[in-house]
This record gives sequence, structure tokens and C-alpha cells, in this order.
Amino acid sequence: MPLPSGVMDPRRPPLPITAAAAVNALGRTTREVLDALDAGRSGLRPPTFDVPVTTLVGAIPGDLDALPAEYAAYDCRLARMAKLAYDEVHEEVVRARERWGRERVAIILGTSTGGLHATERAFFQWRSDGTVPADFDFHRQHDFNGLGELLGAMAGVDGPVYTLSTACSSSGKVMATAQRLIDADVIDAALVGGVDSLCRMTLQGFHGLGVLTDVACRPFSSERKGINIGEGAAFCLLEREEVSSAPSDVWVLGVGESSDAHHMSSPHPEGRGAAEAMSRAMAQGGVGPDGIDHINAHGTSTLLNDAAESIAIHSLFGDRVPVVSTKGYTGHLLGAAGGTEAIFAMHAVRSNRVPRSLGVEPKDPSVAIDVQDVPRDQPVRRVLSNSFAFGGSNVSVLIGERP
Amino acid sequence: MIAVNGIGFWAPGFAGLGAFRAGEADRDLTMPKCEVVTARARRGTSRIGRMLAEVTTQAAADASVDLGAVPTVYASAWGEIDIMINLLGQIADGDVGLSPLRFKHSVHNSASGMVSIAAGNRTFSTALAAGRKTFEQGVLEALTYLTTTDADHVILAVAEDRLPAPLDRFGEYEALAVAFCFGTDAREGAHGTLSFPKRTGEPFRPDLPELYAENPTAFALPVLDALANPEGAEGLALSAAPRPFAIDVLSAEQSRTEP
Repeated sequence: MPLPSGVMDPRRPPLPITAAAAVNALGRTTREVLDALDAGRSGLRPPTFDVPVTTLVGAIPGDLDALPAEYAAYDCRLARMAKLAYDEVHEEVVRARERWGRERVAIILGTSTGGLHATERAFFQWRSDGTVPADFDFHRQHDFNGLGELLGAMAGVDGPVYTLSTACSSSGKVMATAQRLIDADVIDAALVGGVDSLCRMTLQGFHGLGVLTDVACRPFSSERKGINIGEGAAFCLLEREEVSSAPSDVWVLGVGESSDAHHMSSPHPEGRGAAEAMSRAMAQGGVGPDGIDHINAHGTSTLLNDAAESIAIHSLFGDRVPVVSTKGYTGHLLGAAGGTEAIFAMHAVRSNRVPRSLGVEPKDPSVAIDVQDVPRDQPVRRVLSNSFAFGGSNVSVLIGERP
Repeated sequence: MIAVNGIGFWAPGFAGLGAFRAGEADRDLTMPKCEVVTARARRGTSRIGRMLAEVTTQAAADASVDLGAVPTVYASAWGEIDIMINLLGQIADGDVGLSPLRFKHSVHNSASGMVSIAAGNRTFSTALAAGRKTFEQGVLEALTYLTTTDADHVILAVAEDRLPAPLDRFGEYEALAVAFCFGTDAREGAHGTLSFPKRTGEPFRPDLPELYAENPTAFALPVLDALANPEGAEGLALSAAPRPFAIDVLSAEQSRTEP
């Protein structure tokens, strides 16, 4: 097992997850999303908007309602998606606000592209006629923290509001930020999560990199050709202590962060940073590899990611731990991936079930870890959820039952 | 107490804090040297990416900490907006696949990746945004990391480049980058100290120089002033949330007299 390098985090008190919600291509409610996951049903479809590449995307089904008039300045696809998920946790956020005080609840979000979808529309109009849409509000729609401000207003909280943007690791790293803010006694609770919406720049950017597949992605398969992009919003409410009248069954036990220091857009070939992130998460949670029952992999379905990540996982766990990539269900949710997959990890703990890893067969023979296209009913006490990003930014979140 | 052991500074015309304080502008200086990153690795990067890398390097050197091991926090409200607009221009021009060199540097953590790769730094690094409060929230992220881990230093680098057209209608200001190397103990040559956490204080709404007033990074300027001028520090507090969560900034001279 490789030893983590550099600064070590101390053991941290586990944080109960007191509310959670996710919306994405699998559904418009958390229930719909998890039912589709249980049924092994993919949400990937051809895009319904104008984009000059052949691919499948994970789009939220149906139309999204405009924001209420009082928040009209923030209205954009990103904000609408976020509100769809936020509405599910609002009552619990209000409860936490009453419990801890307005100033002791933070909003910490992760996103990769923020309101870029709104800016694309404004830019293309400007290129066409020299004007930007009258309803385009750069500071509230494009701004990475505009959504945080909106959620802060809807939640009525006055604690810190900021947005991490470390590409595809963003909404895993928000969990570590919440841990530190609570440990430092700055806050007592945080609404954390991730949101990203489909836009042309990401689709055409990944196409330019040569990693966008024209069919459904197949993580860890010998026939994998690349990624699909998806959109979604996911939130978790983390608190210093559980609610005595409603004990929490799933907790954040540890978070590990590391940097590859290798390449801007390719992982270290042996998954060095990935292994460090997982090791740090386990060390923080006080468990070793034997204490892990399941891994929700980053598993983007690119040749390089899946090869490097499988080496990293194998170096720590051999082929003992069931591994799943859920990218075949939702597409790669970029800045929302970590938050969404943390909720999939919660569901695995609650249901004692490892979901199918869609499209893995035939499995790449060089992938020496246990990935299968069948669901498995087994005890799931602790799950690692991995997210890795451009710039070599890695995070692994350890989620599990009551410690 | 948190020590400010190192400072980095870059703005068009000013290669460092000394030149800025002296008001000695070099009108030909429009791009930081950013020598920590190789010329090859600088391809496809933006000016703000180089600004962040430059001030991070300066702050590490000023504090005599190893850039290959120090944790880093990068903060910018709008980050790589110049590359985003460049890529949207490629789409508008009919390009199907976008420039991979530009795309991989379009992420908000581009500077984090650049510096960690250049320096071989495998430890903690993050990148954040918080609109007009980006500097204050960056201080919060950096100091909560420093005070809840066994790290002895952390660097906060904050920067904003000018907004490109058509977004310049939403804010016109000069570019600016500042970095602080915070430490758990003051080293020789420390610039001053902060008291953290402290939950009192007025919201942080200083008068900002007109040239930088709309640049969120400008909120670092009064802190630099406070560190340099003992009288200027009196009552200065960063409010890192809408309600009182404050960080007192004390000059080196004041901090010597604090209990």
C-alpha cells in the first residue's frame, strides 16, 4: 500500500448526512434516480439541442420550471436544475438553520462550468448582432458562485457561501471543505453538493481531446471508446451531530485529497494520485482496505483513466472489492459527479446492494479489479467514492454506516 | 495567531510588491514571467493562469517554503474566462472539435495543475470562487486548512484578469494577482500576523483604488496596506461571511505587542 505523501490530515469526527437529493438523466427526483439505478436503466440519450458531434448525453428529462419571480435574475438552466434538487432538502436545511443558527450554516458547492450554458447563449447572440440578451445577468448566472448566493437566499442562511471549481473533483472536495469548516468551529452545518449543466463547450472540448464516444460509454470494458457528458445536481446536508429524533444511517467518514503532479489532462499512468486519495480517505476514517466493501469508481470509460484507476484500486485492494462505475447511467456529470456518486454510495449502504456496472462486458483483461455487469446483494458498510480531474486533482470520499 | 510569512504580487506594470508600493510602473510589462512553468507547459495557458503561478512562486520564495510540498488554495471569481470566451469563439467560427491545449486549461484549477506539475507537488490543492467575496472566502479556506491539519504553511493565491468582450460590460478594471503564504509560526522577515478565528468585526468594505475597484482581488490591497502600516491595521477585519466572521489583520509591529 503506497504511503501518502506530504501533509497528513488528522482523524476527523464523522459527519452525519442528514438529507440528500440528486436529479440527473435518471430522473427528476431522488426516488426516480435511485429506482433507475436499481433497475440497471441508463439515462443516456442523443442530445436534443444543436451540437455538431455524434454522441449520447445524460440530460435531465422534461422541461425545467423557471425560478420564482423573486429570483428571476438568477434564472438559467443551471439554477433550475439546482432548485429541482434543492426543493427536496429545503425543509431539512431550514431545520438545520433553526438548530444551529443562520450564521452557522454554510453553502459549499462544486461546479466545473457554472453558468457557462447561459454565457454561451449570450455570446452567440453577441457574435450575431452585437448585443447580449437583456435577461443575461453575468454576475448571477455565469458567476460560479451565483448559484451559491441563490441557494443561500432560498435557505435563509448567513454562513460562508463559496464554490469549489476543480473540474471533475469539485463536488467530492466540498465534503472536505465542510469537514474543515466544522472542525475549525466556523460552522455547524453545511449544504454541500455539485451542479453542472450540459453545454456545447464541454461536448466539443472533449470531442477535441478525442475522448468523447459516439455510443454509450462502457467503463472498464475492452470495448470502451470514451466518455458521455451528463448534467445534474446533487446535495447533501452535513451536520456536526445527528438529529436525535432522526438518527442518521449514513455518514461521511473521511475524505482524501491529492494531486497527481503529472499532466493537465491525463492521469498518472499508475494511478499514483488516485491511490493516495483513497489511502488518505481511509486513514482519516480510521479504516484499512479490509474495511471497504465497495468502490464507486471515477470510471469515465476513457482508455487512460480506467487503466490508471484500476491499477490504483488493485494496488490497495487487489480484486477483493466490488467496483462500479455509474457513468454508464448518468454520463460524466463533471462538477456534479462527486456529489451524485456520493448519493449512489449512500444508497449502496442503505440497500446493501452493489449496482451493475453497465457495459463492462467484455471486461478489459488488463483490468484486474472486480467489475461486473450484475447487481450484487451483499453487506455494504463502507464505500469509497472516487473523483479525479484535469490538473491532476483527486478526491476520494469514504461513506459508510454509523461508525 | 497566523503569520504572514510570504507575499506575492503581480499586476500589469508591476512585477512585484516593491514596484507597486513605489508606484514605479513599467508600461511594457503586460505578462508575468512565470518562470516556474516551462515554456512548453505554458502553451495554451492564459494570463490569469500565469499570474496565479507567478504570485504563488513569489510567496513561496518570500517565505522560504518548498513549492514542491506546500498546500495551495487558488481563488478567482471568474477564473479562466478569457479561455472560455476564446473557445466559444472557436464554436462560433464553426470549429467542431475545440483546441485541446486551450480546453484543458479552461478549468478553474488550471493554475493549480500547472504549479503542482511544475513543482512536483502532490499534496492538497484547491480552487474556489465567491464573486465579490472571493478573496475573503479564499482566506477562510486557506486558514481552515492550515489550522485543522498538520501543515505548517499554506499559500493562498487570488487573481482576476480583465473581463473579455462581450463580458467587459459587466465590470471594467485592471488585472491583479496577490498571494499570501500563511504559516503557523512567524519566520524571520514575517510581514505580520492574523488572528483567526474571531467572530466579531464589521463587514469588510474598504475604499479600494479606483483602477482595481471592480476587481474582487482588490480586497487584498487593504490587507497589504495593513501589514505595511501599523496604524492602517486598526479595526481592519475581513468578514468572510455575510455576518460577522472576522479575521483581524495585525502588522508585524502590532503582533509583537499582542499577548
